[in-house]
This record gives sequence, structure tokens and C-alpha cells, in this order.
Amino acid sequence: MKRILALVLTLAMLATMGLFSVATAEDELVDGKFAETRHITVDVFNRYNDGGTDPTTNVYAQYIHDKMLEKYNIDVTFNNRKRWGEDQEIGELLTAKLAADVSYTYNYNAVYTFAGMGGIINLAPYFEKYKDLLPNLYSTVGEDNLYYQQDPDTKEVWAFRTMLSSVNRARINTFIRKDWLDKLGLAVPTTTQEFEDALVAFRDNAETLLGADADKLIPYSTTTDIGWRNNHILTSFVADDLNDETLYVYGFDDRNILYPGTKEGVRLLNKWYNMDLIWKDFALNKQEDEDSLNKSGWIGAFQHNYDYPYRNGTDSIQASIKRAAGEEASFIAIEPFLNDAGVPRKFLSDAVDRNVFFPATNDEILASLLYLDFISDPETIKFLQIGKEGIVHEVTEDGAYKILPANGTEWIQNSVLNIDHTMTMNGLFLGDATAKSFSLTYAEVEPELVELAYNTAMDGARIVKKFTLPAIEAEASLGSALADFRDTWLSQAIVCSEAEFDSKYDQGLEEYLIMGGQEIIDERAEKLQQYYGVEIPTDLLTK
Amino acid sequence: MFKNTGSKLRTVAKWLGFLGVLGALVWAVYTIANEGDVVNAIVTALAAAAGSLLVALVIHTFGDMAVNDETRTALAVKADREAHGIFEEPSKAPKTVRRMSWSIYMRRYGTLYLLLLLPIIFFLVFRYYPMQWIALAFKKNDILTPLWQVPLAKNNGFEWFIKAFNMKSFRTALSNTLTLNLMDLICGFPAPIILALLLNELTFKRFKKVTQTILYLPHFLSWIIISGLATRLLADTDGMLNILHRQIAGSGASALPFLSNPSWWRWTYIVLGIWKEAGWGTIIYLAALTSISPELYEAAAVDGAGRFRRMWHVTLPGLRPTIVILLIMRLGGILGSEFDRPLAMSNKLVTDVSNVISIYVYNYGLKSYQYSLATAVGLFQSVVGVILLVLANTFANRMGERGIM
Repeated sequence: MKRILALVLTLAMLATMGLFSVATAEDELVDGKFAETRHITVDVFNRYNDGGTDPTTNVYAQYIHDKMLEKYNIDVTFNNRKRWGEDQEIGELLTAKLAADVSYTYNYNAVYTFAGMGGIINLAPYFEKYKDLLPNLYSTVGEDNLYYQQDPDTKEVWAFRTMLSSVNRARINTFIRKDWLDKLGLAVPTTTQEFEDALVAFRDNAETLLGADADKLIPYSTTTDIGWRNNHILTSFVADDLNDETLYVYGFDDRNILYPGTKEGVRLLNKWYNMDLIWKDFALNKQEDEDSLNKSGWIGAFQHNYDYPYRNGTDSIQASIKRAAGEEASFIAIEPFLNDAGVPRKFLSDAVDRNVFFPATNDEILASLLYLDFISDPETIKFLQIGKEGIVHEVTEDGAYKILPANGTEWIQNSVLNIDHTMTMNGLFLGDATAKSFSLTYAEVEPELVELAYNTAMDGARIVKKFTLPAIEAEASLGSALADFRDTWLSQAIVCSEAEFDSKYDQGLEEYLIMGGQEIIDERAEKLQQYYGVEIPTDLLTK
Repeated sequence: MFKNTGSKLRTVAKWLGFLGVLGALVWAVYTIANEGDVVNAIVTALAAAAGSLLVALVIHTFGDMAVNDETRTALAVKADREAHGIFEEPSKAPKTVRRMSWSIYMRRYGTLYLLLLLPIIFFLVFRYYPMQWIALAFKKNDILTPLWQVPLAKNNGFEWFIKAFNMKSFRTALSNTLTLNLMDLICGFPAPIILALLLNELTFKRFKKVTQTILYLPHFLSWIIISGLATRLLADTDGMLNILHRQIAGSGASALPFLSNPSWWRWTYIVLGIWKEAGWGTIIYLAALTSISPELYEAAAVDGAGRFRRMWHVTLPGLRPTIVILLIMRLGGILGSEFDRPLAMSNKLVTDVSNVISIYVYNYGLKSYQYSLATAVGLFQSVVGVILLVLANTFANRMGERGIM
């Protein structure tokens, strides 16, 4: 009996010691470094690019790992996340309690929904407590972003928004084949009508432009992500004098599709579809299918991310069409879609990007925060973005950094400028050298084209004011399903006959609103009135 | 108390089943009294009871096997004795004569039990244990907190059912599931039977084997690959069939909208399903065909029956039990839905007819993190499935066929 008692007491003592050491060691940094090695896991998106390296083990991952161990005695393991479908995956990981200590996602609804289940750590008290240990996080990401999603009542912060670099604020551009315009003697379109005329000319002169492949010519292309891929056409029909409050209430959809007026934009697309100006099979195919048509040089114009044809060096659309159709082949950015005030309006977001959060399973909060501070250090970001001199970049005479294609080497970056490793910063961040280096960061693309694309995408920019409100409950539960339905509704409205358009569009809109769209608009309006005292009508879409 | 191993096993099985159900009941009452959580208690008790019944059923089946075996042995011994002129008194004739000890029994059937162990563990871990989360259908959307701590959903726990039935997307998914499955049943169910009958009539062996192999092949292609093939073959402008169609009917001819028109799409979906699975489906019928005695065919031939008469009067009746069982199983699954087939085959233009319940559950459960809603829909689907299964089985029994229960 005595022996058992002694054993129990010894075990109890050991357990208490263990607990005690865990409780106190968290704050135990000796010269800014943990006495005992800490282990954390960190998300990194894997885009599975052709010829790419494994982002969890490549030279950049190794660099982060070694530096963290050296600087803080923290052992970092990367958690491989797929970029496409990441929002679904993060739900699975959180459900299985397998999410990385430092996780990120583009979908705040996931974070908010799981926060309601007790699955996410409230970051606010830790920001307060450890502020002094996180100088880089505070200077690079900034308080605005750290507290971007703070609940005004409860003060909870479930996730902070990472930084969108100054040169990455640009969103979408319209691209057109300059060589085709030249071949047909057409000027660069500056109005919607001129753009339409150019598409008609492409359609009618397919033989001149593509010869034997004439039947493959697609004047204008899109995918079923209608709101993104035709954004500037749709928003050119939004009245310029709508105030920020109205745009907020109708701004749930990040494709701006609920902004009053966009219906006329969809009508224009429907008309073009029936004029055989739009890719007939767009609804049956995926982005990759469109990319391959584009790389074959068969597409005349499209809208996409502001630098889309210039991405990925030798595998870019720009480089591919040059190989397919000769050196003169080139996509250039244009801005023909003017709104009622004659402005080529582009709706941009605040300088916010992904949501970074800690799941409740994270028991290394300080170590995780130190990781975020390290990854926000300008020196770290610089190394991850421009890699090794002579392989990934070279320095020009005026001190700018020119990116080289690192194909076939271990230094190849799996995303433009390694944005998936530079977790807290999306886009070029090289201090003073940023502006002059920007147009040189696209391997194999003329810098002037990149500059033109950037300036075009930023021209006429409008950022809707941010309103600090509690999370909109309806958005968390309905967000993804609505986005899915939106694409269905708009695709169907585009492919129907012109006579059917109104009924198809209105029917889809009605269903969208019943599914939860109206609930979101109402909740936004209600909270806006509650916190800002501004009343916005909630029936503008159906009036 | 026990006469032999077989009946021992059967008794153990009965007690196990009884005690399992009783234990589940007691557990349910105890949980309700202590935690006041009715839903959780009932669902877990049901899962536990079902689990113990499953195990009991398996043991019972082995008991049956042992009894049969012992009876056979006893009869053989009796016949042997009779052959040697040893006759027993009729009054002493036993039902079973020899007792089999546990060690002999286990030596004979131990490996079978061992083989059965893995499937039983599989079912318990992946089918019965997770059943307790059915309770989520009646609770707040919270998959991380321990189940008994999650509060009941609104409307006495029926919030998600009400929500689902109020959603047009759910009603559409429900009707699409029924429509596609019924079409599949009507067109797809007879296809392997007809094919098996045709194959059965082939006399040139090698040709028959080659045909069979070719027919089986599509079964091994995933729906993702088939959908890719379908797009290349059937798309409006780039599809091979439409290119051919334009060459024949002239370039101005409007495209055949195999994939882009909702009603055309349905038939494309059904036809591709038949193409993929009919060949594979013949296997079970061909196996059943081998059990039909050739004497019946010979007798029918002697009676002057031609090929079709023989098919009608010999082959088809021989296949009837198999057909009935497969039909019952198909009917039970009429509300169930495949996932990869509609997901891969669908596109944004036909979602009105292609979104089935499994896609709805995927969209709302996994993609929108609405686990309670998805569980409610899944539960509804299962309950209706069981009801249909029982109805079909009863119907089959009435028709004089052996069902599956």
C-alpha cells in the first residue's frame, strides 16, 4: 500500500512539475531566444506548378527553417496546403483538429464559423501582451490590418489580414491582342462600342488573323467566374455617384455583382454571346482549358488579373503566343469601359490580403507570433522574393532588381515572388527599390507592358470606405453556396437568347436573394444603421 | 444446458442481441436522466443497439452453419450405420447426434472468425461509431465541441430540417435525385440483364470473352476521365460529334447541345452511365446463369422451344431471384446519390437538373461548413432509403420471392 502511495505521489509531483514548466516556459525567452527548442507548424500553399519545387522543403523553406532555429530556437515544419480549394481544405483541417499552428486562408467565413465552435484563438490579448516582441509585424503589416476584423463590441480578433503590397493593389485589366488590331488597321479601343467593333472585326477576319486555324478564333473569352472575368464591363454600368454606404450594403459579393446596375453589363455579355463574340463553350470548360487556348494564340481579348498574361516567365501566355504566332504577338492592357461619368472606374480593395489565424490546437502562441514577426522582417521578405543573385535576380545599374527565370534550378519560385512563403506580405516589398524594380519582376516580358498594365489597372481606382462592424452572421453560413450559385445564374443568363435574358436574369437574381443574398443585404444595412446611423434602402436590386 | 456448439452459438447470439439492446436502452435512460440530452441519448443508443445486433447476427449465422454441419455429419453417420445394417430404434432417433466441443469447432471455423474480424471492426469503427454524430442534425452547428455539450438547435432541434425544406436548392436537389435515379433505374437496370442474355447466347467462346472484356473496361475509368472525354466528344463547338454534325448538316447548323441543354444533358448522363456500368453489371447475372441446369434447356429444346422461348421460359425465370435482390437494393438507394458522377459531369449551364443531394451536402456541408444542415439532409436521405428498402422487400416477399431481409 505504501509503495503504491509513494508511486502515486511521485507521479503527481512529476505531473505538477511538467505542468508548471509548460506554464512558465512560454514566456521564457533568454536573449530573445527560447531555452528549449519549440516546434510549430506553418501553412504554405502549394500551387503544383510544372517544374516547380516542393514549397515545404525547397531552398526557401530551408532558409526559413534554419533562420528561425538560429534566431529563436524554433523548429518550423511546413504544412502543405493546396492553393485551389484551400477554403474547403481549411474546414477539413479545423474539423480534424489538424490545422497548422499558423494557418491562413482567403475565406474569413471559415475562420468565423469555427471561431463560433471554439476552434480559433482570439488574437487580441496576445497582440497586446507581446507587442514589444513583434516590431516587424507591427511595421510591415500594421495595426490597421492586425485589427481589421476586430469586433467593435467584443474586441475579439479571430484573424488578421495580411498586407497587400503597394504594387499589388491593382486588381483586374482588359487585355487585347495588339498585333491583331495592327493587322486589321484598328486603333486601340477607348470606348465600349469601339471594343465591340474590334471583337466584330476579329470575328469577321478570322482567316486573316489565324489562317488555317480560323475556326478556332475566339474574339472574347471568359470562364464561368463571370463577375471577375468581366468585372470592368459590369461595373461600368454602376452609377458613379453611389455613396460608400450603398456600395457597402450591396458589396457582399467580392465580384461586385450586387452593385446596382450590373444587370446591364450582363445584358451586354448576353448580346455578345449571341453575336458569337464570346467563347461558345466557356461554361463547359475550366480555367486551364482557356489558358491552353490562350497560349495557342486563338483568343483576341479577355479580362483577368491585372498581370495575368505576363505571369510565369517562359510559361506565360505572353511568351507562349510569341512562340505560337511570332515576335509581334502581344497582349496589352486597355481601358475602354467608361461609366456614366466617363471614368474607367475600377473598384479596388483596402491593402488587405489573406486571413492569418491560430487554431485552438496551437499551444505555442508566442513561438507562432515570433514566426510571424520573422516572416514580416523586410530582410526575410527580400530574400524570399528575389532569391539568390545571378540565379533568381540581377541588380541593374540603377539599383533595381530584375527577376530571371530560375527554370530547372532549385531556386525556382512556386508563386510569383514567393507570395505563399511571404505569408504576411503579398507582392513586391523591396523598400526604396520597389517602384523601379516592379516592372522588372516579370521574366521575359517587356517592362513597358508591365508598367502599362499596372497604370491601367490603377487608373480610375475607387476604394469603398471600410466600416467597422461586427461580423455579418448570414455571410458566414451562406457565403460559399451563394458564390457557387452566382456563377451558375450569370452563366445561364449569358448563354440564353436575347429575348429570354430579362426573365433568366431576374429569376436567377430572385433565387440568389431568397437563398440568402437578401438576408445579407438586410443584415449589413441594419448593422450600418446601428453603428453609423446611416439608412440605406435594401430593395435597390428588385425595384 | 447446451446440446451442441451450433445452438450454443445461437443462444449466445440471441443473448448478446438482447443484452445489447437492453444495455443501449438503459444507457439512454441513464443519459437522459443525468444530462437531459434526449437526442444524443436516443441516437447513441440506436447506434449501440444496431452494433450489437450486427455482431449477434454474425454469430447467429455461424451458429446456423454449425448446426447444419452437425446435422449433415449426424445424417452421414446414420446412413453409414444403416449401410452396415445397424438400425437405431426410431424412438431414439436424435435430431442431432454428435456434440462438437469448442476446441474442435474453433479449429474448424476459427479462420472464418478471424477473417470476419476485420470487416466487423471496419463496420464498428467507420459505420456504427460515427452514427452518434447523427445527433448533430438536431443540434447547433458545432462539430468541435463534445457532442453532448452542444445545445439543441432552434425549433426543438428541427431547425435544419425546416431550413432545408424551405430552401429551393434542397427541393431541387431532391427532385433531381429522384428524377435521375428513376431514369437510371428504368433505362440502366434492364441493360445488364439484356446484355447478359445476349452474351449467354453467344456460342463462339473466344469472341464472347473478348466482348466481355471490352464491356468491362469502361467500369475502370473514373468519372473524371469520362467527363473529360465527354467534353471533348460532345461540347457544342469543339466536340467531335458536333464537328461531324456541322460537316454533314452544314456549318450553319445549330449545335447538338449534349452538355449545355438541361434535358439533353440528362440523357447524356444516363447513356454514359449505362455505357460505363452495364458491362460490369452483367457479371452477377452471368454467374447466376451458370446455376441454371442445362437439362432445362435440353428439355425445352426437346419440347420444341426456340431460342427466344428458351430465354423467356428458362433463362429469365432462373435469373429472377438475382434480379429481385438487385432491384430491391436499387430501390433502397433511389434517394441515395452518387457524388463523383454528377459532380464531374455537371457544368454551370445544367446545375438546375444536375445538382443532386450529395452535391447539396457537399456544397453546404464541406464548402460552407454547415455540418448540422448537411447531417440533417443526410439523415433524411437515409431514413427514406430504409423505408423504400423495406417496402420493396415486403413487395418482393408478397410476390413470392426471397427478399434480402
